Amino acid sequence: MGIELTRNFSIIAHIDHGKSTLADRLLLKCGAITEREFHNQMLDDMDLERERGITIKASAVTLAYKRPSDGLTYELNLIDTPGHVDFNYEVSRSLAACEGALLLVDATQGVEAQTVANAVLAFEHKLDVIPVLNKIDLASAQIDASAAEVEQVLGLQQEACILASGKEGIGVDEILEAVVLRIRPPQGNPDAPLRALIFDCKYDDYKGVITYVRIVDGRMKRGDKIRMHHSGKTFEIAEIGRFRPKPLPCDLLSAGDVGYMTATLKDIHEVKVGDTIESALVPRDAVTPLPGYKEPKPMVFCGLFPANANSVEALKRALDKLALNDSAFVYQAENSDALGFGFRCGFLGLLHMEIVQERLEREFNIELVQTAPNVTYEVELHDASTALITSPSKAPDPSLIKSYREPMARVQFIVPVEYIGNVIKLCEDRRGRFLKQDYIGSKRVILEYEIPLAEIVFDFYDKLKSVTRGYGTMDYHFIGYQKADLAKVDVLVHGTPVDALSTICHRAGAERRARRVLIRLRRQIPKHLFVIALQAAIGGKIIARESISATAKNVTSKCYGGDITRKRKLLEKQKEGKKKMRSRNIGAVEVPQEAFLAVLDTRDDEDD
Amino acid sequence: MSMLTVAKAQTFPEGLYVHVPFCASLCRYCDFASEIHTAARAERYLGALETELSVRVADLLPDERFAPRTIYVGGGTPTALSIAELTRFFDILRKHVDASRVVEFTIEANPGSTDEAKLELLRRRGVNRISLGVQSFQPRFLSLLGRVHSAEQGREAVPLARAAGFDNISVDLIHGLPGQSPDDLRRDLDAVAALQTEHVSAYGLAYEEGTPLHAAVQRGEIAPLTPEQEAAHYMTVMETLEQAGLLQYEISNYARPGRECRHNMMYWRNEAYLGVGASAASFIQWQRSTNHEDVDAYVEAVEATGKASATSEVLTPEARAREALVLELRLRRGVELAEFKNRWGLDFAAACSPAHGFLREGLMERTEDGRYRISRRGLPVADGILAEFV
Ligand SMILES: Nc1nc2c(ncn2[C@@H]2O[C@H](COP(=O)(O)OP(=O)(O)OP(=O)(O)O)[C@@H](O)[C@H]2O)c(=O)[nH]1
Ligand code: SF4
Ligand SMILES: [Mg+2]
Repeated sequence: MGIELTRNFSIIAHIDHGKSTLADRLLLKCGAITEREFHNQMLDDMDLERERGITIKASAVTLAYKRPSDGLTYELNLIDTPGHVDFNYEVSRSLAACEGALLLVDATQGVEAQTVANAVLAFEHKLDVIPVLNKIDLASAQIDASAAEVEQVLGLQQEACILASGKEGIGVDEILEAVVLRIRPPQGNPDAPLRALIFDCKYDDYKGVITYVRIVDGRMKRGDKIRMHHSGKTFEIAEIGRFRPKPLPCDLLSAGDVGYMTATLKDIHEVKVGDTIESALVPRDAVTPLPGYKEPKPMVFCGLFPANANSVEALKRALDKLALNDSAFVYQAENSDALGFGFRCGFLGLLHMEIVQERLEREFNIELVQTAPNVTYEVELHDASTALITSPSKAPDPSLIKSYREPMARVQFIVPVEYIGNVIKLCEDRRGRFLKQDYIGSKRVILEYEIPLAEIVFDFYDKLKSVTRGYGTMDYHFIGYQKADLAKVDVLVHGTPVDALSTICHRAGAERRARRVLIRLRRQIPKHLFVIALQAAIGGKIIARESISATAKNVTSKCYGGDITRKRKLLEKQKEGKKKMRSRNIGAVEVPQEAFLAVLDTRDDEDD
Repeated sequence: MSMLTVAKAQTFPEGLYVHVPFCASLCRYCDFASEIHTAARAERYLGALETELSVRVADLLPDERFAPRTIYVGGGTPTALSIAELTRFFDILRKHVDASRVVEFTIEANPGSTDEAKLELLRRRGVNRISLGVQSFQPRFLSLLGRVHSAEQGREAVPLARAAGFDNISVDLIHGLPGQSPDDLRRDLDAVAALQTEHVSAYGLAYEEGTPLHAAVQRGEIAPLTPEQEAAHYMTVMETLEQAGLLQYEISNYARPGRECRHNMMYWRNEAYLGVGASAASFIQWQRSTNHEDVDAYVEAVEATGKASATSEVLTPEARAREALVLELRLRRGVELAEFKNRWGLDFAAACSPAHGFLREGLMERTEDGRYRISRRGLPVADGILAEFV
């Protein structure tokens, strides 16, 4: 099949605008799946994706499109991408393997924050972008207004929009035609030495490490000797194939193709997403590597500890495997006084964190104790050195610190005009700095703010939804570190500092926040036989205190001959009950594992 | 006592408990093995009791007479038996038990069930200690508890026993009653103190499942005191009785020096005893066994087999030691490390790391002579402490 008959494109959109549903339709139309196999969101094949109804991983599939007008069969490589902001890097990786993109806009919602963000990414990659107004089957679809927004905000022609409904299969033929006509065929020389971009990889229990590749130049066959440009290590190709949508072996992948490769890889770390695969027969110096990717930088960290200390090794193996499927996820061994051996793990955002944690518990059957997440901080020390802090408990002694710097984000909101006031208030509460405001038509506004990342990654999105009745959307990206008046707050349970509960926060809000944490702890820690003092401190100074009153009465007054056995059983039961509660000993206090997350829960609740 | 003497004491129990499961009427909080007294039921019961006693004693000591140091007749209300029944009861005891070594012979009695004639009979048959179920001195609380005697009868019971020649008298008191104010409690305590008894047992009211009182609480008809109020009452009891010269020697027991109940001390020292009658427990050669609670089940079992054990369990050395620890920690004298180790082979210090936390928190303390005990502050939550040692 000639390179002119190949098209490579991604489907991109704001979250829930219907990417995966439309992908299903394209698969069905091209016979990649039969009506019988057809089910919703085919490509969301992880359990978690199905349950949550969202795409987490980009997935690639090769379609054979028999074009009615010329009778030729085109090879379409489609990549369905996630919409959530945490998985933004999956989108940029996918785009690097494509020449075009279908940009979906839910016609009932119009252009939203991630529509803009993803469109910008596609433009940066110089892709041919086809706007599609989706969900037109719905009565609430506002086709004209949405088309106008596409033109005004994204700079694409209104007339270029295709009307579609993934759900009803409307517009599928037009989309396939547009893919052939409006997206350019890949360039690249099949006769040149091999250069292939690794745009993803995953671990498969049967095939081992499956590497997703886009061939830029040259060819790939089974048995070829290849080299990873970055490491210089060489391997022999064991299998190549295409996703249809299951991995199906084939004989040849050549310039312009998208597919997969397995090789004699021993270690999962030998594959690096973004790296270039080249022929081992060509000297390494003679190859110009492909641009690759900016490594995604995890900005949100938390501690993950096995609930059962015996599972540290199992947890490490599981993290290894997950990290292979997820290059944005990082981890490092950490030792906590309170929680023992575990790992400090970095994520792109809270959803990403939740998903990794859930996969660990589910796919690897490891029970976890998670500590509250935090963003990364930079500290400047008096000796003029700087340090990056991913774990608040590991922050240097306050006397050594000259200043803290915290990560800042540039945030774009798209909100209906009636909620502007609420959103501005929210941003100001979160130490935001106004940048600009632009109207989209007369009803909606794009707002831009600079806000400390720590203020937005945890509960901000929920807050935004609630102050805009669900209509506001946001997108953000990290722009750099900025000096801030921060302090490390330690939590002491009955006089013992608990490393896993330390946080870094803005000094102005420290006391309020500390009090909230203590109140939560108070609710989580059951009464003991003695009064438990809970304190929060900055340096040596106590900034908040709470206490948990003691059990008032627990005594059997009568205990004679006949009662002894019964009484012993009762005591044994009490003891058993306590053992069953998963908890950690902090001095004489048993702290339930859930309490370590108490700091995370920043929902407002009245002090009682 | 060395481990060897302990082992010997286990073979030859020095205490005898006899249960009499009859009362004039049933109290609302009661979860003891007891039923309303009738002549026919008592007759059949005493027959079974005699059989069991003879069989158990013969099993225990085929070649000699059983000569305990303490006898405790509990119930129920043993004095609910008629003069004739009581006479038969003591005859049975005399027939199967050698009373020559007995130093303490206690019977439980209720005000109203102890007239002069009965008291005189008890004295004549060797009973030298009487435990009177007075419970409260206020009509309101007596009726709440479902006690049949009056406050007046409660007050008179002690002088009556004195007059009959008892010089070792205990009264039972219940505190933590629903609606009981600190003043109510103080009045009861003053009344008890005024009686000048040798011994007081003061129990916090427990709402045992299956009792009418528990059901009333479940239905919301009765509101128990809060745990804080109950604990405060308990503290008041300890302080007030102590001021009255009644020294606390166990979680719920107070005595003038030397008047601690020897029989009950034996339980808390984890020593061996023989128990006969419905629901009676025995601890012999490290085996704990308990008889059927239900009178019919008890009588039928005895009539069929001569015995009536419903459950039994042999304790491992570790279990014995742990049990001993939990029981001895109920005592105000506390536990002496070397002695405990010598006696039970269990190293308190090693087995009881939780003690350190309790010591630090003031829930346990070391006495001047170096013994470990639960502090007064710890007593209201003694079960929480003891649970760490089982
Ligand atoms: N009425 C209607 N509903 C649609 C249409 N397309 C998708 N939906 C619904 O919209 C929701 C989101 O669809 P998905 O296809 O999962 O959206 P997505 O863009 O892949 O979502 P993410 O991957 O999480 O960003 C689902 O409930 C779909 O059933 C459509 O054309 N019409
Ligand atoms: S007198 Fe004692 S045994 Fe009898 S019913 Fe009342 S509480 Fe129960
Ligand atoms: Mg999707």
